Amino acid sequence: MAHSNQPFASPESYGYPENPPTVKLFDPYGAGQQRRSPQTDEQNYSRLPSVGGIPPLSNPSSVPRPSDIPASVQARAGVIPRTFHSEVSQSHEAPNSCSPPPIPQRRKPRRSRQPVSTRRSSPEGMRSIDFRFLLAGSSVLAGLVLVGDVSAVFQEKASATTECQEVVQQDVALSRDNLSKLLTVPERQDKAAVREIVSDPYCLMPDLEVRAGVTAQREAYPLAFDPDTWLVVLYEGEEYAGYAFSFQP
Amino acid sequence: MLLAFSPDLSLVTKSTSRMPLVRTIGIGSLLGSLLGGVLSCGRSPQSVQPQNIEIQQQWQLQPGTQVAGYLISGGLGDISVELEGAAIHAPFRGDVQPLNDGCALYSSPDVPAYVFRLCGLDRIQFGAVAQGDPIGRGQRLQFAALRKQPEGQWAMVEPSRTILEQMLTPP
Repeated sequence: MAHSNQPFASPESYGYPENPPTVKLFDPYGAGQQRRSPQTDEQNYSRLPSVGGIPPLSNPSSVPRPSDIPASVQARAGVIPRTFHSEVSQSHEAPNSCSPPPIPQRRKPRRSRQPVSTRRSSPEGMRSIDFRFLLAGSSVLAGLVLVGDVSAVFQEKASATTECQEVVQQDVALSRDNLSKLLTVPERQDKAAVREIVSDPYCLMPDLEVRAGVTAQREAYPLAFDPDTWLVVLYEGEEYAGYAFSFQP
Repeated sequence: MLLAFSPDLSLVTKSTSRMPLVRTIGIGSLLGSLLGGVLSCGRSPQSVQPQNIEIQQQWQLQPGTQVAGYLISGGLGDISVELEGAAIHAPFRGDVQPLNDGCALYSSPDVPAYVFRLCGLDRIQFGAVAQGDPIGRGQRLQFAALRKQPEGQWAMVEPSRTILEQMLTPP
């Protein structure tokens, strides 16, 4: 196709030296040098002064002098000093107050051909990619944290033990023999038939009304051979209604 | 390749290059949600087997049967409650199991001799439930209390107002 093969963000396209000796200025990842923002590049570029318009430096020691630049680089006349000045003028307080330096016309079309996305893609793109991956990772992490919280809440709720309202006899434990005898008592027998097998319970549980107009009493017996399992017996008045095994976590 | 040499289309490539990352975010959220759902809802897989209880009062038409192509959703002993999408809650710690007729059976080891049949619910939380946990939601609940009989059957009984209030009141 007829597209240009010119690279988008090559430093040479902006007039940067191919092998910059002033690493502190041109290497955005150099040691001791802060990463240059693309806005700064653009602002500096739009304020490119002529060589003769270099204002005095506020801190000349921090910036290499033109004499420090090798001759091979200085051969690119008009390029390095302008870029050099563009970096320095960033810290200058009142630049261009009287006569703004003219911008070379040949720079404009070259800069305008540069897609904004590519000029800003390297620093900002990396930051946005990092942010997105960070967001994705944090989403997964939030899900895992939520799982842990939900599971913890559930386990805490499920660990609720049988509620004793009143402890009747502290050292009660239901033996295997008594348990087997008790299980043979059919439902709807008299309460006395159960009490002939087992003595007083370990505790009384709160009364409740499951059937309309009938109050149920519940008694609990820990098993002698499995203390974490209780036998809960339900009576309705003087009638034995049934039993259930309640596991105490 | 063409996009790589086109400054104008590079904007398109930039915008489309966001999509996989957005998908990554979405997949991350989805994975987290799914993992949370699986681990938080998979409480007692062994207790989710459909159960069948024998009811003492045998009527020909039971919940779950079809008549002329229509589903019977309530029958003898059922109390119909207009839930209108609200949830019912477990009055005690217990267990929720599916029944073969599509209803749910709620029982508690702390309440011997009784079970509760719940029909018409959606999003039922099968398995172990703590006191106050939501069991399910629905538009119209068919509620039945059953009492254990000496022969192993379950008899429909009249539920108390208090037990129904506990199930309908959020903790």
